[in-house]
Amino acid sequence: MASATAAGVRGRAEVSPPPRIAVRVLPNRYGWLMLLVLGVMLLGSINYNNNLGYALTFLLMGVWVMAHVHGYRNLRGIEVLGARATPVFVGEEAVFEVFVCNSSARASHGLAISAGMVTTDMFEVAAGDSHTARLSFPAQRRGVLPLPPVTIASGFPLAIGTARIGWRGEASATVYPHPAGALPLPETDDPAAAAAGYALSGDTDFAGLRAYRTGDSLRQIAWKALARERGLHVKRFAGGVAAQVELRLRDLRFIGDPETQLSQLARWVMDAERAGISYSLDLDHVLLPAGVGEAHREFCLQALAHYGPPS
Amino acid sequence: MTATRRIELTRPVVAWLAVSLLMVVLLHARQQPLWVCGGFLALVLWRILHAWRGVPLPTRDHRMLWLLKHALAIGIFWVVYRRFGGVIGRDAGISLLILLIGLKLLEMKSQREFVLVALLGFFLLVTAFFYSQSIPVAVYALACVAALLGSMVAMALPARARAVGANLRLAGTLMLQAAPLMLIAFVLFPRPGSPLWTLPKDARHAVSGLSEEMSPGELTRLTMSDAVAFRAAFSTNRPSVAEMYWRGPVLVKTDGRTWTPGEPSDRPAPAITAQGVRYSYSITLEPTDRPWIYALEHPSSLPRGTRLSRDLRVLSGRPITDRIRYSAESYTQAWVAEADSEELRAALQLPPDAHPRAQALARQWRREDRSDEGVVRRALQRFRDEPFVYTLSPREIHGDPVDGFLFGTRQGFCEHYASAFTVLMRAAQIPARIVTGYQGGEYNPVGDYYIVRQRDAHAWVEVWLGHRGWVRVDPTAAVAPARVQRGIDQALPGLGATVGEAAADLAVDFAAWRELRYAYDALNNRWNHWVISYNARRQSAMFDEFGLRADWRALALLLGAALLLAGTLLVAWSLRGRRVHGDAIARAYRRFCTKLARRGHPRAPHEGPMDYARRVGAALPAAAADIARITGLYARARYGPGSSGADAQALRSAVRRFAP
Repeated sequence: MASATAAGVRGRAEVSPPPRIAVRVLPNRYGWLMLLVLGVMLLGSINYNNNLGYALTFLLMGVWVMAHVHGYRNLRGIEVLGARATPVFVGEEAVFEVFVCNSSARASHGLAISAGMVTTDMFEVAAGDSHTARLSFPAQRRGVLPLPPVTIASGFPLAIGTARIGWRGEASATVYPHPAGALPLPETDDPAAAAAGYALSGDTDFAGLRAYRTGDSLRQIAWKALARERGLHVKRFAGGVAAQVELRLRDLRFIGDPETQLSQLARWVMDAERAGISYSLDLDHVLLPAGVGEAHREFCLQALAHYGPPS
Repeated sequence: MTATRRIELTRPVVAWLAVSLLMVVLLHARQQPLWVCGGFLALVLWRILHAWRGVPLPTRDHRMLWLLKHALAIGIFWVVYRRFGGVIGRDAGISLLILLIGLKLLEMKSQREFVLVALLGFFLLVTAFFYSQSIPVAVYALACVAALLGSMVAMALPARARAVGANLRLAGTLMLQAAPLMLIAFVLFPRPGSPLWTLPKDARHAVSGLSEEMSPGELTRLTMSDAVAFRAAFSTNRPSVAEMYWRGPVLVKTDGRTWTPGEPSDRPAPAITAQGVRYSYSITLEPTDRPWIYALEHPSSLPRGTRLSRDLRVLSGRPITDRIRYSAESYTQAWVAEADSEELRAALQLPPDAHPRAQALARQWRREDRSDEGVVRRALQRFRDEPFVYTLSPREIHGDPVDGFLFGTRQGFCEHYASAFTVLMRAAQIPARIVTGYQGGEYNPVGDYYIVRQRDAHAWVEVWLGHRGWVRVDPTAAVAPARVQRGIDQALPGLGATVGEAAADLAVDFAAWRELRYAYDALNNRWNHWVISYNARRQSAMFDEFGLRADWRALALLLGAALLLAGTLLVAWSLRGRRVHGDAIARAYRRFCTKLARRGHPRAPHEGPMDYARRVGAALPAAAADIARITGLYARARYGPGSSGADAQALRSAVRRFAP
């Protein structure tokens, strides 16, 4: 996973198309228990030759069967459209959003999504509606946190059977290294900027529009221009002089293990970004040219997340 | 692998189950002792108070209450044991079940216990059918099933537990869809001929009805009962009520007070000479626990498996423990002119010292009148001329019962008249015997049948008149002709002794009410015939009609096939239904997305329209303006204030023209 996928823009993680989902419905332990009780009721009815006893027992057996049919029908229209997760830092909770829609003409009740050891609360999806379920997992290691196979289950209508659909999407969360480290930002190469004391490229003075380029910060998009149907543009600002720092992994060879080094780099990326200093990232075999803005920060953090095999 | 989440039992969910169980226990209230139902109610209230008021439950945290609960459990066993002499019998078992369900309700914390209690509720419901399988009980039981299923729905969807109507509707839907499967299984499930294991002693009702013994007061007790003895439907013509003598046990031996049947005889039934109209009818007999059935005097054709005894009773061979239905044919004008000397000797037996005055009187008649018919006439004449009264509550007789009745109180019921008359005949050397059975019946115009109740029980006499054979003489008719001609209700106004029955008698005066009662009885008759009495015999009879042999293998095969077929149809039917494709606006927008997808820019499932427009607009600069415009139109049509059909129309035409 060394290659940094450049497609990753924050909030736009890997999405897979909805596959056709088969519903499996099986009696759960309550269902078997109910069958046992019905068996005893049938024995009693036979022995006492009690016709209403027979009738009640057979009625409940029919209900038992139909409950499973209803359970099947309840899940039949449910599709998982996809799942995504926003990147997180190590130590945070990776929240996967699972997109569920109900393409049947009936509402689906009592659904719960589970993956791994995590289960959501019950929810329902009206006919033709969709639902976004959130499953959070602790992000413990840098790199990629894949979403375990997802199961949507429901005990509807009598809780005597469980209808399930499984979904094995390719969704995963990128886990950035934990930004930590006490080292200050490296010295800037530009003495003038250094003298200016990291003058902020604050979004201060509006300096016109230019066409959108991939990677531009969303904050800078000219929404009004879009609404006026003039296409996608970004706002440009005339700020102070952009300072520039070079963040190099090889400069950190002397501190701790590689994870600590990556943590320090992540810290620097965050600090530089907050300070508005243009920064480049040099990870020996990956070199990201200088830049600033959210998109640039994402690139850098992604590169850090995917750097080498995690120790 | 699915991690299951613990489901809390919220207040509405607990309330559902509590109410459902109370409904079920209410069904047992008639049979169960008050303290059982009261105890259950108290336990339910405890649970409810816990849910609403936080009254502590007997958990380990509350040591005293916890001990109390265990003491209660032990106490329940002990009390039930003392009350019923065991915990195995039917009544004791149900008492125990009710109270243990109550205790379980207190322990109920999780979904598992909830399901267990609900299932026990179903079990408790089925035990109620051991007591009654009437229509009201069946209807009420259906309501209980709906409530219990509703509870399970509430538990499965706690968020919707308050939607009482919706939950009951779902329960009702499940029950309706289960009904075809139930019907198939009910008809085809092979019914065994005999119980699988020995029934507990109290498995059957104490049935009231005629016994093979008659002592003063015996029939009087029966006439207090409104219970149905049997229902008789005549196929073509029907005899008058006065002709309806339904023959039961024949009593020959007497100790001066109690009458019992003669020695059982293996000899074949005597020949019956018949004339006049032949009546064919079918009888639905309520269980009697006795080995004989009733037929109109005298039968010419008997149901299969029965035989006519020497004294012309219809013997069934084994006790009638379930309601049965049989057909027979009878002539009301029929004679039996065959008897051997032994029988006639038995019909003259009298205890030597009993009834001295009656015997003296009869001997006097014998001396004065040489013909047997003359003596019979004199006896009947005496009942008519002397101030004899036909009453259900005669004054108590001291001393000899027959002498005391004939010469003292002169008040009596049919059994008094029959036994006094028989004694007189025997003393006059005329063989005579008492016949017990039912006389008359109430015609139900709705169902076109006669209802014969226990209070129609009657006793009459047969005397042997040499050349004519056994001749029926009903001494009661001499005193109260109305009894025989119009039935016991007419002969004894105000028969219903209890308050409830008196009220019913008042109501009977209303024609509409009477009509309703008949309709209800007719419905009951159908119900009994089609539902309650459906058994192995009826099952095989039904299959015979289709030319099939109804052994259990064939039935099981047929049952499986029918269930499979019905199940498949049901599943297919309930799974019908199409996917929704949204309205015109959604359709237009989807078409727009399809056009873009063809250009290699499909919309990601989670992508909002604005995000999509931005992305595709950037990728297809030439179409960016159109894309933005259509997306704007879509947003306005869908979400804009006061969006109208015009917006949707504009969107549709824009999409149609759109060609990226």
